[in-house]
This record gives sequence, C-alpha cells and structure tokens, in this order.
Amino acid sequence: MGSTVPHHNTAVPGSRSVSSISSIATGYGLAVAAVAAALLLTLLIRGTTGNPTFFSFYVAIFLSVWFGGRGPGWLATALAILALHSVFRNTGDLMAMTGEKFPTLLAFIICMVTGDVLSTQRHRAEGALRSARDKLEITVQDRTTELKRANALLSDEIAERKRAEAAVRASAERWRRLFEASSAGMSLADLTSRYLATNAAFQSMLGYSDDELKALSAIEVTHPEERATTQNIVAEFVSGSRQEYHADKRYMRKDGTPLWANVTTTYVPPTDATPAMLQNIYINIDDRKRAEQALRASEERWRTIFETSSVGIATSDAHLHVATANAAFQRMVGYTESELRQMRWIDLTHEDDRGTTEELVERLLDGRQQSYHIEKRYRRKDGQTIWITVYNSLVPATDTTPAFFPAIIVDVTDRVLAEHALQRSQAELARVARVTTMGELAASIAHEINQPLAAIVASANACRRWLDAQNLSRAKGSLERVVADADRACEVINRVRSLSSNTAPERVELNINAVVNEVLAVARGELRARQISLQLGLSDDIPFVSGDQVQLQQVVLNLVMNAIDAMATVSGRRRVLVITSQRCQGGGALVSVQDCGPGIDPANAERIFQPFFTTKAGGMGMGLSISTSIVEGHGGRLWATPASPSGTAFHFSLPEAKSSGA
Amino acid sequence: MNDPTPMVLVIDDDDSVRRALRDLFESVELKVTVFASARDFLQTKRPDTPCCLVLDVRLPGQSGLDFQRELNERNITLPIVFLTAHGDIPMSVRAMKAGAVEFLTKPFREQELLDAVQVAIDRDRATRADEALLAELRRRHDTLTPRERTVMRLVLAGRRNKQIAGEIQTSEATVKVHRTNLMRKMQASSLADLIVMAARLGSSQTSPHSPEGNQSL
Repeated sequence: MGSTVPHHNTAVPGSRSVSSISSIATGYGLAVAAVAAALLLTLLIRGTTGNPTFFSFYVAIFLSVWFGGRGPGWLATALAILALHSVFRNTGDLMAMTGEKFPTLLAFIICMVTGDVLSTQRHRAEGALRSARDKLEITVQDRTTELKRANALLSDEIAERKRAEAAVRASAERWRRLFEASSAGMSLADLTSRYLATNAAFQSMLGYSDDELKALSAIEVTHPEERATTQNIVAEFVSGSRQEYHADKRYMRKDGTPLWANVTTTYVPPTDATPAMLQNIYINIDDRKRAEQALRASEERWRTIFETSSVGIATSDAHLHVATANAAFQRMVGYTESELRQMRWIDLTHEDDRGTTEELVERLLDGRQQSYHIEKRYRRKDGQTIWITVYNSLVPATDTTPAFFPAIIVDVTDRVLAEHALQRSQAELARVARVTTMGELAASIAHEINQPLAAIVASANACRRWLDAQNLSRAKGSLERVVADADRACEVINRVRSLSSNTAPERVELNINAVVNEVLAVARGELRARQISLQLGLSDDIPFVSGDQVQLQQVVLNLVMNAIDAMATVSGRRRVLVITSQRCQGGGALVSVQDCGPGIDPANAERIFQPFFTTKAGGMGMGLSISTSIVEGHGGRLWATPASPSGTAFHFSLPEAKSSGA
Repeated sequence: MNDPTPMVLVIDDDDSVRRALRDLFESVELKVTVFASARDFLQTKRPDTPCCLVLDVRLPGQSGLDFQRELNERNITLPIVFLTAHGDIPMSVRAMKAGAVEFLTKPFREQELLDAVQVAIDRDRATRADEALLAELRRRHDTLTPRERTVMRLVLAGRRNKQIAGEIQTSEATVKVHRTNLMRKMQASSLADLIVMAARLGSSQTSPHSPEGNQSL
C-alpha cells in the first residue's frame, strides 16, 4: 500500500484516494480471479461428470459483490455470462443458449443483486456501529484529559513543595559540611568562652573529641603563658569593645604538647533565636613555626661557626668588595671588618700575586671554573707579608640574594717559611755535595787545566823562537794553538766554577746533551786517570727540558762519579763508561749512565737512593739521594737497572719543556 | 859529533799537547815523532838515531810508568823524560828508580824540558856508542880460536908463558905465537888494554849499562 511512495510519509494528502483506487483495483481483481476460479472448477466438474454445473459462478459473483462492492459484482456477472457463452458455445448460438440458459443468466443477475443488497445492508450496519463506538471513545478521551490535567496540577504543587524543602535541607547541609569538612579548625563558643560546637579539624588539631572540647573553655586549651592575654581578649569581646581578634598563639594539645595556631575570633551578635556567640577559625601553623625556629637555629649555628672559626672566612660581592669577615680573618690581616668593607679583596693580596688572583677570579666570573684554591701572599695592615691558602668560589645570584664569593682563608705562613728553609738547606746540602765531589775531582780537574796550560807554554815558547827565526807562518800557527788551548782551559774553569757556585736555582730551557758534555769536560781527566774509556751516544733528536743547569750537571756528575767508583775493582777487562741520551717514549729526555762494574747487591738495591747509605769507604751517602730529589724536583724520575753483562745502568728522565717546539 | 840528527819521541794522548810539543821541539831544530798511545809507539820501528822519549804519565789503557817497566822488560834502552799534569812524589820516585832522566810537572818550564831532553839524548847517544864498542869487542873476541881464547883467559889470570905452556902442554914458543895472534885480533896494544877489554866483555853479561859509558865519547 505505501510501497508506491517509499520516501514519503503515509500521511501525505491524497493518500486516501490512492488507497481507495487501490481498494477498487483489488475489488475488480478479486472479481476476475473469482470468475476464473469458477470457470476452472466448472470445467473440472464437466470433465469428470460430463454435466456442467454453474454453482461455482454463483459463488464467484456473490464473493465479488460481497467483498468488492457493486462494480466488481457486475464485472463478475458479466465475466460469468461471457465465460458461459464462450466456453459452452458449441451448445448453440447465443440466442439458443439464451433460450436454454436464460434461467442461469437470470440467476446470475439475481445472485448479483441479492449479494449487492446484502452487502449494502451489512456495510450500513457496520457504519452505524462504528460511529457509535467513535462517539463513545471521544467522550472517554475527554474525561481522561480532564483527569490528567487535574492530576498534573496536583503533582506540580507537590514538586514545588519538595523543592522548597530540599533547598532548605541543602543549605543546612552545606553549612554543616563547610563546618565539618573545613581543613581550618572552627568552633563556636559562648561569651564565657565555653565551646558550643567544634569541627573535626579543630578536634584533630588539639587531639580532643567534640564532647571533651564542649566540656572545656578556650582559656583552658590555651598555652599557660598566653592564658592571661586570651582572658583579656574575651573580656573585651564581652564588653563589646572588640568585634574581632586575630593572632598567632600557642595552644596546649591533649597530650600536653604545645601547638602554634593562627586564630581569628569574630563576635556573632545575638538574634531572636540565639544568644551572642564567638566564632573561631584556627589554622595550624605549627610546621611553619617549627621551620622558622629551625631556620633561626641553623642561622645561629652558622653564625657561630663563622664567628668562632679558627680559619678565616670572608665574603665579597660580585665586584670583589669585602662584605663580611670573621674574627679569625680580621686577626690574620690586622684589619677590622669595617676597615675591610672599605677595601677591595685584591687590595689584601701581595702585589706579586695579584695577576694570578685576578685571572682566577675572572675564570670564576665567566664560569670556566667553579672554584679554586691557591697559595699566595697577603699584605697585613702592618705591612708584614703572610702566606695563606685561599679556597674561593662564586655563589651565583638567586631571586633573593645577589652573587657573592665565599672564601676560606688559612694562614700557612709557618709551613711555607719552614718549606722555604727546608728548600734552602736542601740546596745548601746539594751544593756541599757538589763541592765535595769537586774536591774528589780536584786532581783530575787540575790535570784538565794543566794539560792546555802545558800546551800553551810549549806553543808560546815555540812561537817566540819562530819569531826569532823570522818564520812567521809557524809563529802564527803556534799562536793560534795558544788561543785555542787557553779557551779550553777557560772552559774547564767555568764548568768548575758553575758547579761550585752558590747561585739560586734557575729554570731555563736546556739541552740535556750539553749538560752531559759540560760534566764530561770536568770528569774526562778522572776517566783518563782511572783508565776508563767512554762510549758516548747522545741522540740529536732530544727535546729541550726545563731545568737548572747546575743541578742537572750535579746529577750527571754524580752518576758518572758513581760509575767510575763502581769500576775501580775491575781488572783484566776494559773499563767502559756508556752515556746515552734519547727521546722518551712519552716525550721528554732520557739519560742513561752505565758502568761495567760488579753491579749492585740486590740487598742494597732499594737503599741506594736513601740518604746516608753508602757502599764507599769515604762516601757521604748523599749523592743518589740528592740526585733523586733534584730529578723529582724537575718532574722527572731516577732509577737503576742491572746492565749486561755486568754493571749497573742509572737512568733519569725529565719532562719536555712546555714551550719547546714552539 | 857527526851522529845522525837526534830525535824526540813524544807519547801523549792529548792532541793539543802533542802538537805543542812537536812545535816546541821543531823550533829548537830537533826531529820529532809523536804518538797518541804506547801501542802506536811499539808498532813503529825505532829510528837508528839517538832518541829521547817524552812520555805522559797518564796514558789511556796503560800508565806511563807501566809502559816504562814494559820497555825495561823488553831490554829497550831509551832515556825517558816523564811529563805529568800533577806530579806526586811516589810516582816520580818510581820513575827515577826505573831510570827516568827527568820527571817534569805540567805546565813545565820550557828550559827544564829542553835541558832534560838534551841530557836524555846525550845519554842515549853514549849508550848507543857504548853498545857499538861492545859489539866490536864481541866481534873481535868471536874471531879467536878456542886455543887462543884459552891462552887469553890464562894471560888475564896472570900466568907467565912458561906456566901456560905447562898447563896446556905445549911449547913456550907456541904460546907466544897464540899470544901475539890474539893481541892482534883483539887490537890490544898492551896487556893493560886487553884487561880493560876483557872487563867490558865480562860485565856486559850482567849489566846492559856501562857506568863509564861517557868516557868513551
């Protein structure tokens, strides 16, 4: 039915006519189908009985008129007649048939008319019944609507009343929950300060239950030291001179411990229903108070450390003006703190140390370094120089404090002076050892000097004779030798003088090969006297080292003299002293002095470097000890290894001079 | 003397000293040969001329004194003037005992050195002359027949001709002939002359040096 208008609501205008057309079509279809069915049935019956009966056509006509209405009824009638005529034509012509079958035709029509009348009556009766029912239904609906309206009015009234009641309850609940759930403690008290109500926060703050608190007054839970004040305040409320009170005060908890709270008390005026009350709000500030106290204690502790420390402590601002200085520091430099505040940090530093200090501070300021410590000199107020060690760092600026330098200063004057004295005595000892060695060498040194002197005398005399004989070219040759030999004698004397000198050590860049050669200039005579041959293997590829020439000469001389002594007992084979130099694997220079003596007794191997240990009859036992301290003072190392096939090799290494190669 | 030119032999390991000494000796018209070591010296043939050895006490490998002893052991007679850069008494005593001509300390006075060298050369020249004479006497002695040597020994023992004839069982005339022949062969002009010659020959077997060497110059 609705399938012809699939996209439209069935309630569109014209749906009734579509429905009626469809209903009419169905009626006519029913008529055609009914007649066709009757025809088939009749043919079937004639086939079996041989006698046609037309009863089924009556049924078809009646059904068509009954269900389809008048039109289909007539159509069925016409079709039935047509079927009768065409199917049963062989029985005669129409007229014949009509004559014969007229009653049948009439019966068809009567059947049709009767069906139509019956159908019409039934439809009419149905219509009357339907209209009566509809009327009743409308009446019922009207009554129902009236009842619903009355009911709705009643419901609205009831809902309104409920809402009002709920609002009142919600308000009360809100206030109650506000009171109960507040994290701030709350209470109400009467004007005698007795509690009327307390909330959970206040109860847990003091450790009492609500009932316990209701038996107490505000005075009783106040810390004993503050009760008098509280009483006065309550009196002021009672007299009306105070409406509000706000303070940090201490309470006493149930367990007897004090509790800091911030309390706000407000006067609540009386109403018709209630008397005047005091309303209190408490905030627990115990932790804050404790933190404050801890902070104060900490500050006090630091202040005490600062004030009583035996080391100097001072701070300066980012512009290096002294900000604070403790007593120890003031004693150290002789200035008072107020005098120091007028000074810049650098003013204290000894003029010679200012450059280094300024550079270090610069590194702190630009962040290249976090802290530094340095040993340097201060000038006291009285002009005296003191040695100090300062540990300094930069504390960066925060939101609350600007950047500053905290420095710890230790007076190390005594230690530094002792060190200097020790260095001086070590240098003196080294010099004595050197001069002693020179004494041992005196004979061979004299030989080394006399040798060129003898040559000079001989050459000079020869020269004189050549001049007498007018042989100028030979005279010139003699004179040239005089000069060369005089130079050679001077060379030896200079070496001896430098080794005996008492000059302060001085670091210079030098070639260690030159040092070896300078020592050999002095020791060569001794080698000759002891019939020792020298194998010299000095590498040309040797880095410069930084050192004191005299001290390093002393080391080499000491090793050479030890080697000479070690070979004193060698007989029956050549005595050979091997001196080599080479570049160290890790950079720096390595010098080795090797003898072919009997070697070092393993039992003494460890002790030979210790002071006052000697295997020689007249030895002082300081040579290797001094040599070791000289080499180590140069950042190097001195050690011994057994030589092959016999003897000992002493080696010392020195680091490469920093600027060499530049 | 018309001897060949004397020569100074210098052994010193110091090159500049060697050169200076050569210069000095050449300036006084002495021939000089220098050696850097005793080893070099021994490997060189000694010149056939009066020589003097100027020797440094300190030598590489072997000291001058040891070298002196070695020369003595090899019967090499060569007057030595020692030079040392620093003299010490025991060393010089040893050197002088071993026959050194002089022991000079560097730096030496030129004249002392030249004088010592002159003395040494003279001594060598005398030694050489002495040795030459002795060699001649031996040569002459070698020409004697055994019978003549026997007669000579008995003559030197102070026997008369008759006693000699009796001892060797021959006639006195025969002894006279032997005696005349040996005097001629030995070129002795008198019995005294022969005695002196025999003394030289006899002493040469115990001592290489003649204390009277200078006399024959």
